[in-house]
Amino acid sequence: MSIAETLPVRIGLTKRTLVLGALFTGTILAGLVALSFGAYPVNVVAALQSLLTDDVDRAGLVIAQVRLPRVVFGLLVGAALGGSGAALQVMFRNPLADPGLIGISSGAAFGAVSAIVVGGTLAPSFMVWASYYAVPAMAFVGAAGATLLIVSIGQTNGRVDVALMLLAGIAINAIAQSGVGAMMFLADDQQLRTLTFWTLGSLAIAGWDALPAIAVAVLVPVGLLAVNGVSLNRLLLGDVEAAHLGVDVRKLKRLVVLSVALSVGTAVSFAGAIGFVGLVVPHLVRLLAGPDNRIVLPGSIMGGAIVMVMADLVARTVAIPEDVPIGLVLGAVGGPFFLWLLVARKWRVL
Amino acid sequence: MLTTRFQRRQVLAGMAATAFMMPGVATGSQQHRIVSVGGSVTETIYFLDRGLLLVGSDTTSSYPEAAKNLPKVGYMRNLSVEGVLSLEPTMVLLEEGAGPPVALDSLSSIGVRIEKVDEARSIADVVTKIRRIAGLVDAEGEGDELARTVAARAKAIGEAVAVVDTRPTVLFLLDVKDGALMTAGKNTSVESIVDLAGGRLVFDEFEGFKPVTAEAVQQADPDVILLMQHVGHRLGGEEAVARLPVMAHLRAAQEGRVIAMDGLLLLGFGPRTPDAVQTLARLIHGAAAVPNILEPLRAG
Repeated sequence: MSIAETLPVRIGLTKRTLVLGALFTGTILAGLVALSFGAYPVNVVAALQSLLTDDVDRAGLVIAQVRLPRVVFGLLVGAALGGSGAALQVMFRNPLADPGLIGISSGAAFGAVSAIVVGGTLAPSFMVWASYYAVPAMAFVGAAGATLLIVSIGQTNGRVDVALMLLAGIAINAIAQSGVGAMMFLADDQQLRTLTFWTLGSLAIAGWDALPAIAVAVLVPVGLLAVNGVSLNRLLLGDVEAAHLGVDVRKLKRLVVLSVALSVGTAVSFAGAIGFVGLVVPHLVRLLAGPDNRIVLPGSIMGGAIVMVMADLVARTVAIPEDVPIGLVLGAVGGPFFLWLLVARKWRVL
Repeated sequence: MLTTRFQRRQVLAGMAATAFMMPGVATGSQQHRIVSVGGSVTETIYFLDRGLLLVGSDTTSSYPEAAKNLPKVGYMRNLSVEGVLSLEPTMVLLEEGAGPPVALDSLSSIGVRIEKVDEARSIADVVTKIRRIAGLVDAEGEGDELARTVAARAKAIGEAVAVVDTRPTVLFLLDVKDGALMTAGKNTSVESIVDLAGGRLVFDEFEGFKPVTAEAVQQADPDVILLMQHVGHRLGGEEAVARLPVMAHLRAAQEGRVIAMDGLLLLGFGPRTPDAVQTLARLIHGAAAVPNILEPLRAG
């Protein structure tokens, strides 16, 4: 412990408080701004007042049943992707690591496409009972299944071998993708289109029914990642070094993988394949606040949430009354912004 | 004649829009504000002379011209809840397949009336569809008239087609991707319209839309290649399609029998379906075999 205290992780508490405080305020503000604008013109204050009465007007209903759940969902998805991306980059000691590496995206895609294409034939009663939650449910099963398989292959004598896991991930991804291909071959025209929209990603969600479950499945694992910043800093030094510093490396890696699987698995199951955030947001935070994971982890969680609701705000309002796919916004706006940040950094403007 | 009627409609539409923006102005307040989703539904509403009731449509609604200028709520399978609500509709008319279901449920929970119209695959279905839509937009009289017209036109062209005793084989080209060709099989709207026009699909071993290999296409050797206009444009026109590697050695491609038709006209199964049958029949049998007996039916 005493060695840790002297490591460079010991940045002034003020910087950490400052950055995280700013991001927290930013998250709240982003949520409020996102809530205030949309295709349907709403005076938010009046709408909220109407919600307190017995006679709720349409503006109130739009806020309560369409926009608020969507904003909350966006915050959760962003938090899951941002936090998980940051943790995986540390665990793999690779700046390009993202949840796709441990099979989540392809597993979820396989589950989703299976539900879309053969669900109605193989398990009609389940599909009817689960209604539009059938696809997310199956996507989650696919994501969790692929990840657990990769992790169990990557474990030798109880030790997580990251390199082996990476290779297993490549194999499982290939298998899942050919499964997706096979399903696409079996799909009819309408199923193909449904599938296309799933892969484009969207934060359009049906009201409140699924949100409590999503919130628990995202916030608990993401919270666990956030409080492990110190251990993750030590893990960056190497497995052996981290162990000498008192980190239970096995337990930490298992925690990271399971947390990522649960939170990102849940997020992509409902939102579809949304990339970019998990990869880029941690880098944004590192560019702005340095590599200390006590800042990067919670920072990426809140940063991911901000980026997600803001991108969705653009997606919802740029082509009213149409919704633009959020993946398109993230790439078109987020990509150049990230580039600008890199270049600005290079020329020491920032 | 046509233009003046459209001009008058546009002026009226402008006035109506102004009136809607001024609450308290009496303008027959019982009038519907309709968002129509699905090209053939939108088209039918115009044919019923109720185009003024439309406040929005989806991206598949491309006929008549006026429909293109309506605010678009997105692709029919990917509607935006708030986008639809922002148009303040009293009713949303949907073609089969519109969605996602999540969006439709949200809309009904907020109190928007949702009406679904069944998909049509035959002239009888088209007539049913016209009457159903007419009932929803308070145009029963117009609906009766339109239904009778469409049925009569379909009968006339059907008799002309029945005289032709050949049944040319048609290869439908939905799309070409990475050299593979997507085509239509049994139980598709393509099969229905080709059947009405007196042809038959060259691939009838499978259902729905499937990729087929270049060799299978070569083996099948269709008499005619049929595709949708927007796909043709994307691929660079009929001649470019005929020169595609999967096509180049086909008899139909070499002899120039590559046909592109407007997708909504061809596969929409709306009031213009008899027109589509005539156009397609004249293209696959030759203009000499099928007389041009129908003047185009136009909305408005």
